[in-house]
Amino acid sequence: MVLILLALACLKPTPPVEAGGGRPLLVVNVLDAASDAPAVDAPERFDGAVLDAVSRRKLVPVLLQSEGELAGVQGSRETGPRLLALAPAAAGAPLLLVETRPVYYSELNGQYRWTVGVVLTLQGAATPATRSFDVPVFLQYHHQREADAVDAAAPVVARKVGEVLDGWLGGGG
Amino acid sequence: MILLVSLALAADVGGYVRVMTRPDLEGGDGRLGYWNLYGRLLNEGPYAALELRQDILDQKPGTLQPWTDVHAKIEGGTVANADAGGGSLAWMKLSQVYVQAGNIGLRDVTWRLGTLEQNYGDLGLYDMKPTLLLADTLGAQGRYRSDRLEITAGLGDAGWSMKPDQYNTIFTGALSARVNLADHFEVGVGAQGYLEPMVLGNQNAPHTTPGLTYEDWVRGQVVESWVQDHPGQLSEFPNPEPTGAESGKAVAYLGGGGFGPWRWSTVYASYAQLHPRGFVEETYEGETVALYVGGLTDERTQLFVGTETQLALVPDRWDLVLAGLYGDNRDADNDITPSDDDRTFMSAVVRTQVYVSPVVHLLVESSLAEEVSHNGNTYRNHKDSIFASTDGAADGDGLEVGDSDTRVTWQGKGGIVLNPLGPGIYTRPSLRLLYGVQYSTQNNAFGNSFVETLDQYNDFGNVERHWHNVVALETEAWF
Repeated sequence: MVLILLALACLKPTPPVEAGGGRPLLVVNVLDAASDAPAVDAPERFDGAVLDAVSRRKLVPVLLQSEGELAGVQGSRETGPRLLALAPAAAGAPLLLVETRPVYYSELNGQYRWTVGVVLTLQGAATPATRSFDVPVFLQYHHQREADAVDAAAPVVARKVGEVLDGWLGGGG
Repeated sequence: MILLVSLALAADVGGYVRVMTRPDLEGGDGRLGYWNLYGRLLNEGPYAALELRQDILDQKPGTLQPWTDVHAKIEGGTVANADAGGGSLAWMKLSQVYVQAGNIGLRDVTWRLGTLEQNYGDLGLYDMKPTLLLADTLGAQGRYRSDRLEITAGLGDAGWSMKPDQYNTIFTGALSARVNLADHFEVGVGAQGYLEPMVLGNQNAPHTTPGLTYEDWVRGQVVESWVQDHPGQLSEFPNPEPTGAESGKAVAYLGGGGFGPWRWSTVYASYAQLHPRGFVEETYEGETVALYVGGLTDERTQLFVGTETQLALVPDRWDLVLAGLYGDNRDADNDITPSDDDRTFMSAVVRTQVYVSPVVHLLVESSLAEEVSHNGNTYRNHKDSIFASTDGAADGDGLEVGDSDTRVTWQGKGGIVLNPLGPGIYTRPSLRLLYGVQYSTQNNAFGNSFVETLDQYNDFGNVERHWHNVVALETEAWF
């Protein structure tokens, strides 16, 4: 059993494309609740997972908080207007916008299922790269809500962020 | 089928699967013990659930536009090649169908019509839901939910759920409320009541047959006794008298945590007055008589208290979960024979998981449980206990079974867990290779196919076994 454990634990994942060359990448993570509550920044753990995926590709992430001077991000729920609102802050630098939309699904055999809709937009090349997908997540407790759902989706979102960045960097971005 | 339909509709499909193989070289059916009181791990069988959600009007973030969706859920405890059911759809049921709508009439209120459900959570190590309300009801429900407060009210009919073969309308309603304080503490209470009104002329409505005694009923000798007292007058057997029936359940919930290694603790409590039963049939000399046993089943109560605490001893390296429960079932009508409605049970379970790497974990769990019958012996501690009943002695007319009123069970489990999504005792999917061992004071305390008779013509012999070992290869996933 010990040998099996060691063998399994020593399996290393494929390394990411490390062609970032130390360039800065602006990152904005947004949480859009299904209610009429205003958009807010994604929770810290989620931010950490996304920033880690960026850093591992030799890019230097710069996290922009959507509050304050970036109020335009909160003012709209659409990707296009948000990119326009972020343009002054980006000042031509590559930008990664991660929009998350958690929706409660139901209690499913002892866990609370949420569906986190995600829209990734990478504005770095001539044509922005966009990827939309849903992440089903399961929360154990009744009191856990939108922020916990987004946190729980972090591993999957970080992997997708990596795929988008790999595609961009692999294409000479 | 439902999967194909849902895919065709591009619906959101969720579900749960649990499937395992547990070769049992000691004659068992693959489960370590009898039930979840010893922890759900290795004591549960296969299960599959598929839920479909179809948005009709989807929720628009940042708006108060109306939204509505349809849910349907099919589930059952069988999977091909894993149990006797063979994955048959006949073992599955369409357990939930409902339509939800929001932003209609009242802000932050979700309306639901169809099958209902209200619950404050799960005792994860036991897979039990002590605070479940309305799960037996088809009706309408409204739920107000804000960041700190949730109020749910529902009403409907529980007749088909509670008396599927003897349907009669059972009005039911429930009200519950939960308050969250500063993200670190919350409290919830709720109650559900049932009312089955008297309906003259309806054989499925509540009635009481006069003169029934509990002992005659459990022996199946009500009619026989009556005929002995009234020779030749079977046609004069007393008619049932119409009545009404009420029952109810109250629940409470406390939760707290979020400080350092203390992730969260829950305490659930419930107290239920069970609904009286309808009628049973007894046949004597070719004559079948319906006996309305509502008067013999209207004093059954169930108290349940359960708790669970999750600790992150070393974040992302070592987690611990502690759980315990206490149950006290009482049946004031029954003072003579052991039954599940008249017993006390208690249990403690501890599970720890060490994360060798993010995906490779070591799991160890142990449980200790005691079950005590209030009405005498009900457990056979030895292979020849079939001759023992009342006070452990042979009694052909005895209502007890075996030589003990107490069963004590210990279980230990351990093995390797692979979690592709990383650390977490409740993170799924999990692929597990486990070994479990049980010691019980009861002989052969697990599902088995042993021949128990002590008849001299028993070709298979009898086995005395208090230890039970199981190796399991299993997987569990929510999706």
